[in-house]
Amino acid sequence: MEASTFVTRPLAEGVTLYVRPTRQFKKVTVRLFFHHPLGEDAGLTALVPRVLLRGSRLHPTTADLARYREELYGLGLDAEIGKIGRDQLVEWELTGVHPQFVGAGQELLRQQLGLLAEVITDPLWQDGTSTSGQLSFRADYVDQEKRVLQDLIASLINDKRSYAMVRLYQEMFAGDPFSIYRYGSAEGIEPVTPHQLAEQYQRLLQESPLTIFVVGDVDPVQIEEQLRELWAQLLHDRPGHLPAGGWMPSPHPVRRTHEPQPTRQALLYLGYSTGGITYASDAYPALTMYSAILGGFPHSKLFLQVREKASLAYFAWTRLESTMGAMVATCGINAQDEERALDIIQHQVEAMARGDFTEEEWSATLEGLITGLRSAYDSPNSLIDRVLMGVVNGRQRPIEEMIAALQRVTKDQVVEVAQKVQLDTIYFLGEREAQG
Amino acid sequence: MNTTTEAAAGGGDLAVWVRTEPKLQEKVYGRRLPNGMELFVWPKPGFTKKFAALATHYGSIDSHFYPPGSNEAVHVPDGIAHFLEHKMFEEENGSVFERFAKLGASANAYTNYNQTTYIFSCTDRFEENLRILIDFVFHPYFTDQNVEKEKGIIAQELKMYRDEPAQEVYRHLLEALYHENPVRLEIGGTVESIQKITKEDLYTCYNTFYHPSNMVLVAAGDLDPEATLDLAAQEILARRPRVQGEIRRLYPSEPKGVRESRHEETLVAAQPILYLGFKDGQVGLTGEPLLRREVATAYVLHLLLGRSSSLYNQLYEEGLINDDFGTAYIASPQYAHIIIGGETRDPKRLEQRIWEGIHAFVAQGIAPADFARVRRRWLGHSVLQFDSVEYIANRCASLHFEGVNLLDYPEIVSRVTLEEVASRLKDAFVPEQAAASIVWPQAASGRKV
Repeated sequence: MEASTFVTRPLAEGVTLYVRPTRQFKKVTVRLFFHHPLGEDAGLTALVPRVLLRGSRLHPTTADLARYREELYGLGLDAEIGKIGRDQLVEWELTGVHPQFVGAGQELLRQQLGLLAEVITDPLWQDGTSTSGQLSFRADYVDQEKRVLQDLIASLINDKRSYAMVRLYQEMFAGDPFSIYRYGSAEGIEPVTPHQLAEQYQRLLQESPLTIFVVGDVDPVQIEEQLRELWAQLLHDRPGHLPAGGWMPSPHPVRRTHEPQPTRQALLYLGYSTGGITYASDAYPALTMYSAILGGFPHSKLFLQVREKASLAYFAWTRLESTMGAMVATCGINAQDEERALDIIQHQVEAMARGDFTEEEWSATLEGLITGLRSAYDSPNSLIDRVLMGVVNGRQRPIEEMIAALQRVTKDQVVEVAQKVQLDTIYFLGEREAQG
Repeated sequence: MNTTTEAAAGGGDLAVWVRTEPKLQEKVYGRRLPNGMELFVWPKPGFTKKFAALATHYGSIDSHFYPPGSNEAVHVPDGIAHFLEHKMFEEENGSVFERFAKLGASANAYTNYNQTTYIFSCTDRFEENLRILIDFVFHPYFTDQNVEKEKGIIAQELKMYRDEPAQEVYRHLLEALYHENPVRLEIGGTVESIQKITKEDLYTCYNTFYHPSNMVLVAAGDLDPEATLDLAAQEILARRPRVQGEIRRLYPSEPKGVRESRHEETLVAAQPILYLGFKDGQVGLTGEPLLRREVATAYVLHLLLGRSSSLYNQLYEEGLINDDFGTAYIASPQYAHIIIGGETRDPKRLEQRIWEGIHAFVAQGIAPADFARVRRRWLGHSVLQFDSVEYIANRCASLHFEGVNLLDYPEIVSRVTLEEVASRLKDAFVPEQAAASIVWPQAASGRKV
């Protein structure tokens, strides 16, 4: 186990490369993030990588690109839109087999890196537009991707738990950019033109802070040289990244929203404010202990009380939205058990504020958190996500440092956190019986 | 690839074997216990997580069988294998989760059509966790009270799945494809069927299927393989020293043809969903032939409808499919079917276009260059799977029940020929063996996000 996880290299202003050379994996993972502030243009931004993935100048159709990726031993090349706090992230991901395991030469890695650069920086422009001075993507690709992105937004309702989480945050953070869905809205996407999209693409390419990760059996010096050569068009100075989290709700009575839907299982989602404690706060390790004792594990209070004792639910847990400073507690129940479940959860939250937890709960939670943190060493993506959280929050918390910090947390500190935690919003999805 | 098998050095115990794949840089140790149980250890130097899976070859389709020593077959309620999996976590003094939690490990389990698997993951004190795993899986404790209590919990789990449109469309597809095979039933049963389950039923199933000779243990991580095998052998033999009688399972024979060629229903969903299914006319393969058929079918599906295929791109450009579209082949010795589908604005048109594409593909055949290219993709992907200890342990266990050693997987994949794929293409899409399942969206009540 290596304690320091990444070699860090600034490649330009606002462009940082993190490399983890390791023989542990047979794959090489490359991820590249463009940071963009969440806003009204979320849908426009989300369309950019989708259109780029349809074809480049050298591989102008999706089938051409897919065939070339197959030649490169099934190279994974994809883009996704992420959201951390008020950052919208345009993420590019490359997963390729290391040449030695398929009897290929070192040029395979070069081809893999080169393809990502090609897709991002050498796109397929609409014929003729470059001479008129108005750059534009191919109109058919743009129309098709608008439709598919709209489908993707609409399909959130198919996953009731994700839908409920998004809806809770919309209620809880109404008016805050954090409430914007990572893909934007169907209405926001509808009027987008190929030219507007080209402009947004160029803005991202020129102005967005970039964070780059490479994990695998690579030499950091060589990788830097290769990127400087192959990704030259990306490695220019840009504005640096600004922290994108934090939230302090103004005092208000608990909001309660019921969304009727004919589901078999009703979903109860409770949103809490952490009283301003975020990933960057000194109290974050204590907040982590707090949330985990309450609902992080199968030995935690919510699982034992809501599921094992009351038999009301299959799942019952808490999760931190640590960039914003919020916590969600949730369970899936029969609609008529809403008040009972709410009551049990609130009792457990009150118990936490009284410091009502045992030595056994404490040590099992601490051990479980440490296992979870260290397990990340076996997953390139988990390691990368952790550093990325640090970038967005303006404070890195390396695994071993976080473990040491958790070990130093005292019971009093957890109670102090518990007393700051405030119920903010209750969201209920399901068919509630007619009320009063 | 060179594969070497030898008796492990040092231990002197000939029952321990080791196999290596030098090119893949993977190694697996194994041991067959006198009670018939197989043990595997995959050393993964440099990995932090240590993972173990203890599985029994008993899943949701095994609901009709002869209990040990009985000449009368029993038919137990649907969903009982999954129910039993839940109840294994309960002990006289509380929950097994707490024993693992004390050691910082996380434990879980899952049930599918063919097997029930108990797993844990830890970074520390692997031996103690392994003892707990073996201890609890070989120690059933069911009471009337704890069985009753579980019904509410599992009912919520089943309702949760039934709120997922993709699960529903798949469930209805299997109901349409199969007349008799129990794969057509929900793995977890129904809210009604689980009400009938008693502690006596659970003991009957447990005593029938949780035999060492019907089970496998796989560990993966930065482990000392021989010490791990020794410990596991000792713990298991102390509890189940002897071979138990053969398990007699009864499966209904499945007629040719489908039960209904289409099923349509309406529920809360973003847009229509179409799944087309194709039931294999012949089943019963195991071992390498089964795996080769799986790989050959995957080739067919990828060449027909993968991202690099012209059909996929036409359907996408025609606005008939989106990111949700995909294909799969699900095969076992008892059943096998292809699934094609996803969300679509026009399920009827999509169905028609897929059939047109199939006919054109069958007429045209497979170009050697396309096969060669897709083969490279397969070679790459079969290597990457070894980057995860969870994957290794889970896949090693499920392939073991099919009669294949995971270490052979990349080699078997590389042996699949163009001729095999071409011949599979000819029998994959028989209209009489096909069914369509469609979900139509109920007037959407979800808000705009």
